[in-house]
Amino acid sequence: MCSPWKNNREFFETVDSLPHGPSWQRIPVTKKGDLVANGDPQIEEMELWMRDPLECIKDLIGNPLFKKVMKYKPERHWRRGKRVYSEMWTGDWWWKMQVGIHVCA
Amino acid sequence: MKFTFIKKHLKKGATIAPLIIASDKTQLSTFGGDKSAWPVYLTIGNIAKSIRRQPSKHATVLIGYIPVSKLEIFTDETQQRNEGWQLFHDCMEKITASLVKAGKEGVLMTCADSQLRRVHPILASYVADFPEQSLVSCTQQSRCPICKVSFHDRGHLNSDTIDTLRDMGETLEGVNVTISGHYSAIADEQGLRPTKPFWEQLPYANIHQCFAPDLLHQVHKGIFKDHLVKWCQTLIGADELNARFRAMSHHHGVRDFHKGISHISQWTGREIKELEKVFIPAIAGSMPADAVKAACALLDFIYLAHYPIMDNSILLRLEAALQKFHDHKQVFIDTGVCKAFHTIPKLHMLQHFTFNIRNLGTPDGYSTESPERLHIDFAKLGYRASNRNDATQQMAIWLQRQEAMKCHEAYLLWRSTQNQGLEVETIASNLFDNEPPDSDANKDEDDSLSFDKIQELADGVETVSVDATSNSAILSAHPVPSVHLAKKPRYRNCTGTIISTHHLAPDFTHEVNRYLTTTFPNRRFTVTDYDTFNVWTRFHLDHPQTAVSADPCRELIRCTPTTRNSNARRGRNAEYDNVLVLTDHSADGLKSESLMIFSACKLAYIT
Repeated sequence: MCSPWKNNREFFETVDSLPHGPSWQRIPVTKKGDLVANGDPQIEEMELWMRDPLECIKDLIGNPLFKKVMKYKPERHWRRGKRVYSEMWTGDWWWKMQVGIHVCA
Repeated sequence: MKFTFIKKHLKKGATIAPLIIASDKTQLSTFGGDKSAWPVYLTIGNIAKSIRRQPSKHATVLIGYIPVSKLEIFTDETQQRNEGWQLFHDCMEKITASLVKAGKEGVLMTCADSQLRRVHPILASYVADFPEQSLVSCTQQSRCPICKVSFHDRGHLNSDTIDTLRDMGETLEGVNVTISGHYSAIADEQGLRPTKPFWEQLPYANIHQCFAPDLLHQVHKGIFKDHLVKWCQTLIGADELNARFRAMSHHHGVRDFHKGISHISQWTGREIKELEKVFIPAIAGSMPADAVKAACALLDFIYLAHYPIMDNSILLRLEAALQKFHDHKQVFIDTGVCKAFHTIPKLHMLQHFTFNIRNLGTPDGYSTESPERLHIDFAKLGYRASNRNDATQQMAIWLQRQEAMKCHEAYLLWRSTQNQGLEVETIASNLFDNEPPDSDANKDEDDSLSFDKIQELADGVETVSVDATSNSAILSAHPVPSVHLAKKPRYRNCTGTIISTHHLAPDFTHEVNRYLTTTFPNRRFTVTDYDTFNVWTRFHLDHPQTAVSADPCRELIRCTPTTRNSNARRGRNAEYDNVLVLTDHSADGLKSESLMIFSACKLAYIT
């Protein structure tokens, strides 16, 4: 069987043209030190690789595979008259946050 | 906790996406080469924890690699350290920059159920080990990232109140004064680092309450392995403790530490959990009573902290267990195995567990085990695929390609099911259902658990209470396992004599006859020593659910005789497990308080 690509570069080009998650950004970060070389303070250049968390959240919250296991609002659970905590949406933080949001509306 | 400031911005109908951010520095190169990566992961609390925990579900995404540098451009070591902290916060600020506006105003997003919601991403939890918690919260490592306790009081048990918990406003004030070069009494009192924090601009986030309990680092590796095991080992003596582990009988599901524990140099989380199972029996009776009590209390705490669902009574038991440990801990100081408790930050963190669980849910959703596992997928495999030069860029591209391939795979799978006619309906409706979320909310409720009452905040202001329909599914402790036996026997046609000698069941034929007499009173034959039997040496008990977990579990019961290899040397030791057999089925078993009629028997044969 012969491959539809001539070489691996062509193959990667095809892969890169496929839809993928949020793209990566390279952000240069520099730090100016106090060590002096040739009269100038030394500078260290670094790279921060990141992608937009907002896009990632969109991907996660909109993923149809998670439909059955997603909650969008807080809940309070009781078992035999006792408050029960388990998932994040059963905790107080989310509830208070949401109540805070609604009180202000 | 101050929630008044929310009121200014958020409008009715807002949906919260609680962000769980995790970061953990990790080594990339295995031998020398000092290469490390600092990945930052993100997931949202809207997704159930059982899914978040599974790396294969891709519910956690990588949002960045923070640069790792020793900053040797600074001469002073203190400055190197301070600048390193600041570098982390600067990078995190860049990563989270888009969340500031989104958190305040909300962003319209299409959710998994095809509904459009205005989502406010708000930082709810930060999962990290203790040094990184201190780094994130701008507190010194001699203090606590959650409360204001002083270094020397860290060893005592204090109760959480609003006065003792750190206030974000105060932290910011202290930090800002210190950065501007002035002396800040707050920073001095509360042990703050001179770092401008990344979470300053993040709306509604209270970083000091974000640190959810961490079972792996704080409990298993921290308190249990690094401290309790060491103390007990010193108290008992390593040789004696090893001997005790060697003397333990084997059982299915319990690891046999046949070489003892003192030689194990690299502990994995799994090994620690196995050790926890057998630790109390190994130390009981060989230490001062108080030390055993304290160890018992800590192990109670560890096991209680693992419950996937906790009600208030469990939280109280959790507090009581910790209290009991603190009541008895003095013995470790008196015997000299532990110098001081306030030098152990993890011990102090245990007292914030109940507060955090009430706030953010049970700890099993936040363990650092999951980021440690993600390192393999997101950092280590990517690094190995690179040529080790400027690895980060190649890792990012590698990850993007991997994602594209997974996306494409899912798409192809979906397409292939589309062409198969009838299945289209079911799968398509699973994936892209247009039903509003509330109509199937009741259906989705966990089948294994029944709640008397569930109250949810609807999208509007009013609160709705739902009465769960069935109470019949209350977890029972009554064991009703199904028995599984292999199709073919291990030994065929064994005579009664062989069974009584080789399988150590001396009265075998006699017992079989007795059984036959009670079951078939009219039988015409008697079993003799020369009749042959098929012998099985093991069977499984499948429990659909147990008292502690709703998941099915399987137990193995063995009755293997000693085997000899070709040189007539002993091949494998005999293994006979003990079982409890319920002989009177009218008794209500473990559930009721009536007299339980069990008869213990040593299982010597299964025919």
